[in-house]
Amino acid sequence: MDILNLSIKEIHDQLVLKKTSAVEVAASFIAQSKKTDADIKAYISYDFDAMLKQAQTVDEKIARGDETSLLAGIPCAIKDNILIKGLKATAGSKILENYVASYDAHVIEKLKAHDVLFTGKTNMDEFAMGSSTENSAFFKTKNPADTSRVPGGSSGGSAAAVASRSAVFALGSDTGGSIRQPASFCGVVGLKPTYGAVSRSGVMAMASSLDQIGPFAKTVEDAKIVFDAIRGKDPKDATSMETKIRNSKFEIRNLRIGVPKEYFGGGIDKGVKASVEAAIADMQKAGAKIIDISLPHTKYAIAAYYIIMPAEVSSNLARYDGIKYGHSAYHDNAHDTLETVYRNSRSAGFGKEVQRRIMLGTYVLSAGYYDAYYKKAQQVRTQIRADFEKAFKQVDVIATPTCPTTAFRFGEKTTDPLAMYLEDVFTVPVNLAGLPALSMPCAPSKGLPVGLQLIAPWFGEEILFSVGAQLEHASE
Amino acid sequence: MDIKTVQHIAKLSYLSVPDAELERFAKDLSAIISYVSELDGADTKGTQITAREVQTRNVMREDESKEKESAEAAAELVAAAPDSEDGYVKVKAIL
Repeated sequence: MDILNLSIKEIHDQLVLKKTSAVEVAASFIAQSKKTDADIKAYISYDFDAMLKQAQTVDEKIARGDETSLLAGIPCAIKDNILIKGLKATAGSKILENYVASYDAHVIEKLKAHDVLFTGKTNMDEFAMGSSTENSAFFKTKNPADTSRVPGGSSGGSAAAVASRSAVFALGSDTGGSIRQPASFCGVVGLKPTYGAVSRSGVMAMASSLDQIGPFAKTVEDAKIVFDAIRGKDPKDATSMETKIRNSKFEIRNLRIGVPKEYFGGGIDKGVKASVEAAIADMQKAGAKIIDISLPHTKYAIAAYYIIMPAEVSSNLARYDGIKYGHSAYHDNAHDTLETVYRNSRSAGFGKEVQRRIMLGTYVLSAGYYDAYYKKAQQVRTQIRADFEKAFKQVDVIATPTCPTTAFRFGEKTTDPLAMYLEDVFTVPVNLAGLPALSMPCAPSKGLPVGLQLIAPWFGEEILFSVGAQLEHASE
Repeated sequence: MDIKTVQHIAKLSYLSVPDAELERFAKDLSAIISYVSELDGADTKGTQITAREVQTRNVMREDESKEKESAEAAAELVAAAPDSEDGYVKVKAIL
């Protein structure tokens, strides 16, 4: 049996039955990284020594007969904007190239308590700004499903790590689709939890009212195990909340599935459309009631997002100033003023896309423009949320494509920022409304993975896991 | 968005855009601004803004120092700065 393809529970069973050891598991995944990652380049840094040491600790616990978590000894990759104490956290940016995290993110504290093995930190678009991981300041990551194509982004490295089997699961962050879109492109499962379900403490803030941390995994069940391990209230994130666990079982045959017409028109690729429609037909065959719905404000989602997100970016990224940590122009010239240090540190440290979004945010918040842009966008956001509230009175889950296309080729969208932004047309509304959504593979189109997006009401992750797992079993 | 506006916005953002890149930024930012201006078509009369995503309460704690933890953490944090003196981060003159 190939350990690389096993699920979390399967590896756990092997470990507790002593058919394998955590050190052997770690060694297999390290060997796999060495084999695949020279080409795929999912990682910015590895942490193999610590991984092997942690694996020994897990083996000792098992030998002693201690009770071990399902996640004990399971290799996991972490997006490089999530802090692990003592390890570099670059967020894919030159400005943090040599920055070493001084504390653990809340999700990392939680995973450490479960004795997870950290394989390393994964590549990403700089500060999570992009949909292809081409905006990384360091290098491009290839899509394991087709290495001439992008893995999606911004959590492209995390998706590629799971898809290339160098980690059992990975964590990413999703502000406008940055977990679901790469999951869709690479053919893995990705969950963007409800806003507030997972603490954001220790993830570098991009747009604080939209950011959420979530898992990538091979199966829906694995995604659920990881979500259960990382969710919950954290005093360091005032927006985090304890999720109520509902023990009800959600059988597809008892569910009403909403299909919003706005997600199936216009620029959607024919193959993607056919594949997602086939998945919806499968749900119907399983007894679900399919209901046509409308989310009329979808057409304004990207415009509202590209006002709200840059506004928050311009404020959140003000902290990178060359004074406290990160790249600094401080020593460049003894006679420079403080303001010159700010300006030179930021201009040398930030890439083009990051600078573009900071300027865009500064513009929409500047005197005279605030009402026309920011206020208007926040009103439209309320309307987008209201569309979903109305829809969830009629249906239990909404099914859509995750993205309008399959993975595109390198360089295809890098010259036109707006074309890249439109990639997120089906994922952004979910962030604006704060909803949970899961992307899972459905039938491929022309050999490339296609993602089915399932959207549930606020804190309805259980419905997503339940429906997702049933669909997975039906397609086996 | 004209080049003058780009220069102004860059200044407010503490960024310096080289002259050779001003036109490119102006072009890209103009395309984005023109796209987001589609929101003009949305009827938002009487609609509240989304001020927050979730209803939360302020997180309070006693105002007391956690001495041991903060001394170690402070030394580590100050060490990350490009310059320091006696445990303080050193900065350049403001004027």
